[in-house]
Amino acid sequence: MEKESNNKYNFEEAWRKALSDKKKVPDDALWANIEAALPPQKAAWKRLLPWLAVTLLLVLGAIYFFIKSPENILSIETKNISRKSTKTTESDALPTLHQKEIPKTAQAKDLGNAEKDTFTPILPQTQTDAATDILFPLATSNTVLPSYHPLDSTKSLNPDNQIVKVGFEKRNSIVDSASFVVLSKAIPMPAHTEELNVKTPPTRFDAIAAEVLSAKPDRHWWTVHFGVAQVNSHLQNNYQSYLLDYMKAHQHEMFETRNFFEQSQEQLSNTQGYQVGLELGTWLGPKFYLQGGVAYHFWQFERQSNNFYKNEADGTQHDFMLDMLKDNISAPDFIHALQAHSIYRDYLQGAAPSDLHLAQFNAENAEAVLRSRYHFLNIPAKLGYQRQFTSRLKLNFELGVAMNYFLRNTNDSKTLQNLQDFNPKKRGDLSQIHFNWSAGAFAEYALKSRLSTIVGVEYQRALGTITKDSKSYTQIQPESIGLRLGLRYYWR
Amino acid sequence: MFLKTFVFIIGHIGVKTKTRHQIRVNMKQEKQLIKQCIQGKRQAQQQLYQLHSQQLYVVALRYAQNQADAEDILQEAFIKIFTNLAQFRKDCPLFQWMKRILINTALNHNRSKLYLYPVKDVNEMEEYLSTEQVNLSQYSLDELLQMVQTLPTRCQVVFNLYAIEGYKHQEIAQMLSISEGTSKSQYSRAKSLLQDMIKEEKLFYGKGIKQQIQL
Repeated sequence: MEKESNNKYNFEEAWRKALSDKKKVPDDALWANIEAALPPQKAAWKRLLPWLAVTLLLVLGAIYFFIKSPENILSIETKNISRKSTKTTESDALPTLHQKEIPKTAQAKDLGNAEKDTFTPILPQTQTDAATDILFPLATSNTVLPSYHPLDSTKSLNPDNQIVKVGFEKRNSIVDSASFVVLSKAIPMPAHTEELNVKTPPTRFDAIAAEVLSAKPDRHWWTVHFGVAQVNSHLQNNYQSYLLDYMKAHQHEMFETRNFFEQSQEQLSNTQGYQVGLELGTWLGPKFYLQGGVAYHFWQFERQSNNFYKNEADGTQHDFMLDMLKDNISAPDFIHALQAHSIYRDYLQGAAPSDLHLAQFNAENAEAVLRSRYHFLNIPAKLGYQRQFTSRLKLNFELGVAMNYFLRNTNDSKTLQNLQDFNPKKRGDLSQIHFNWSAGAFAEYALKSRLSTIVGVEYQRALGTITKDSKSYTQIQPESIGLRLGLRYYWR
Repeated sequence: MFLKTFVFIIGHIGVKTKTRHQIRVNMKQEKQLIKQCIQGKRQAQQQLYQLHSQQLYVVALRYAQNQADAEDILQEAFIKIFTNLAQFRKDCPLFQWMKRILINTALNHNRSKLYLYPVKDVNEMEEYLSTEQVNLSQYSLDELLQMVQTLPTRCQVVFNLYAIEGYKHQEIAQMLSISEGTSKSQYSRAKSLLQDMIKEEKLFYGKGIKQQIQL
């Protein structure tokens, strides 16, 4: 009898206890029906297909660049030269340089000097471009300017003349049109290879070549750039974790939070980023460079949420979640106290989404839109790699880290421009300083000898969350991908 | 006495710590499971189904008129869950989110039937409201579900939303696009019908509850 009386509850409570959290096994066939209705599972190899395609492209690209590399061509050319016999026949009346033997000692000397002078020959890609061609007598190059190497030869109309094209590159400089001298002359060439090693008096070409050698390369550059980006703040509201911490701090008993958090919904929309900056670059080696500078960034996010409500009495805007936590955390029956809270009731009446399904927001409620604006300075340090395709077109790949210094961040809503009562934890106050990494690919096109334009894409991701308090239940770890345009000016 | 108190305190702290730890571990596992489900891994989806289907099935039975309807609702809800799992924002427990989808599915399932019955004014139903205490421990889960399922659809839905889920009449009115008074009257009717079943175990639509269950 006593037991029976203990099991008596009021009507609702009795039914709730009797039916809540109960389990019953459904029909075994149900899962099969669900599985049949779901989209078919992708095979593992299909999921990897995009990555395999990208990897394949990269590998093929790398192989292509390796094969096309000037150094490799040079070595092939050099081998050809050294293997050729000194013997000539009648059919060799117009010998090409490939068929002429350069004495090994001279060749070694040439290469040695080339290294010393930090000049190396480049591939014949410059031959077709008049701006970067050099025609130079082979005999002279062997004797006076040993750092020049023959690369190719073409037949002249005059069988006695041999036109030799020679190109060169300053190893420690960018490949720039300004680094080349244009000369063109048909030079009578000896028909026999033995004469190649005959020392000839210096010509005016030697003087020009010497000038080229002594010229300092363009070692540094300024880049002015601006860009637009799509920004994703990766905003995470971890109410569950926050409440656990809150309860822990208040030594509150753990309890089932039930459907409390379901009421809160938040969605990010309309995110834009703009930047303008100045960077200074310098060469680290023939292809690698270092670049750093400063840029001003402006980001704007809009968050739609039903967490925010307006107190009509004083016009302040509140976060119902925080206010309820503050008011009720010490209550003995926390969850019921929350549900009975006036703010919660107001919230349910005023700002609750009309549609219960998933993340449908009540967009008509203007107070639900919170706008955050970040103003910060971005100070990057980047390591770059440059690949030249033609005399004008280059591709730059950059990887870097940057320090961001926040100048100002504001939060407002579309209707309330002057908010004072936002919860810092909810707002996600930002650290004054945080860091991010970045990766970018830029095409560079030479407009003039020293001026070029750049265009490319850059991806940035914060290193960790940028919110001040790690326990803040709003965590932000933004990333952005954007388009960058700029002008680059080289100087020595 | 002192030792007992010490052991009690240590044990209490241990239990609390373990509970918190367990909550965090479960959250981590759940997060992993969600990730795999979003990737479309069938094994993970089946695991999620096995984890929650039994509890959700009882919820579906509460909103359905029979077992077949409940299975239809559960099936439809799980398909929606797997299809929309990427939209789960992780700011509430996964089960609550799934339950919400199931309830919405059930409401949509019953929506056509929700407006079929004439509604009495709330004032006429006041007589059915009572504060008398009830004891349901003598009934099995099946029997209780059978009682709920025998309610008219509209009463059944309002009863579930108000008494079991804990919604207020105003919220229910918004959900079902009915007036608050209608919600109250439907609940009153549901309550009176259930009280009749519990108290008398007599005829309801011509048959006793227990007899009806056996059938």
